[in-house]
Amino acid sequence: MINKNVVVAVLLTSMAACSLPPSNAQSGADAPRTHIVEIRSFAFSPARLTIKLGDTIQWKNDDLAPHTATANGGSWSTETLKNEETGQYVPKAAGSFAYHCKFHPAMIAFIVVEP
Amino acid sequence: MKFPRTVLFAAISIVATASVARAQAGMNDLEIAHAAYTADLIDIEYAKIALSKTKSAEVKTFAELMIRDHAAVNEGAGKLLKKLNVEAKDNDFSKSLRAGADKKEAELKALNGEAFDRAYAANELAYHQTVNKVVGEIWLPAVQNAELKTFLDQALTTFKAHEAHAGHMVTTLK
Repeated sequence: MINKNVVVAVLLTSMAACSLPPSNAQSGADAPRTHIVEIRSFAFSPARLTIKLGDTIQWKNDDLAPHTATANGGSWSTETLKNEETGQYVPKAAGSFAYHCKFHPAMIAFIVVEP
Repeated sequence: MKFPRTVLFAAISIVATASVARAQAGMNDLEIAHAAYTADLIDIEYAKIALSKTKSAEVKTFAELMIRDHAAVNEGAGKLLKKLNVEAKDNDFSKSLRAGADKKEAELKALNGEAFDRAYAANELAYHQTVNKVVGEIWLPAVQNAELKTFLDQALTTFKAHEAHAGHMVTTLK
């Protein structure tokens, strides 16, 4: 037998969920987005990322070794990212730029920032 | 008869690998974990000697990298052992690693200048070649615990990057 109180509670919960805004309030087509770059096996993935100006890039380190994402030329850098740590950066201008891990310079990747 | 240096390095590696393979027959997961931990500690010790002796920016950068990366690997190993609620177990192979390292450290400490830099670089290359062969070809196939296997696989990725870096360092210091 179904408990009426449980049914009412489930319905109320469902209605409340439907009326809530999306968890990412900036989920519109032109709203800034967050792009995830995984660091795994001493490589950035994706190695080439195209984003819009205003978007955020978030790196997640899946390796045991600490890494960074550091602009070639050093204009910006994440903190040292230990295993399972994340760091992020919001580009300030459109253009193409390369970055690397300052500890393991063979790790390189590219970001294209569209206006 | 004079052999090219690369052939000698290869021969040393093969001999070392063959002997360590014999030394670790029948090791269980906890013994492998202990040996891996010991191998990490030894490379940190080599790096500390390098930092106290070298004037080469490249050697210094490499030594700092070894300390940072191997400490991170051992930190990960410690977390995994704690999660599994087990303790790594000392064994004959760990002891043989320790004995070999004591001898090598004495050799390195007796050198200075460019001779030290070249010896340190050559040892780092040979050490990583040997350890990587053991981890990849002997320990990984033998490990029973799935989480330890994944961990060792990740550690091997790190050590292979070190091997490539050490190879570059050997070439530039010639």
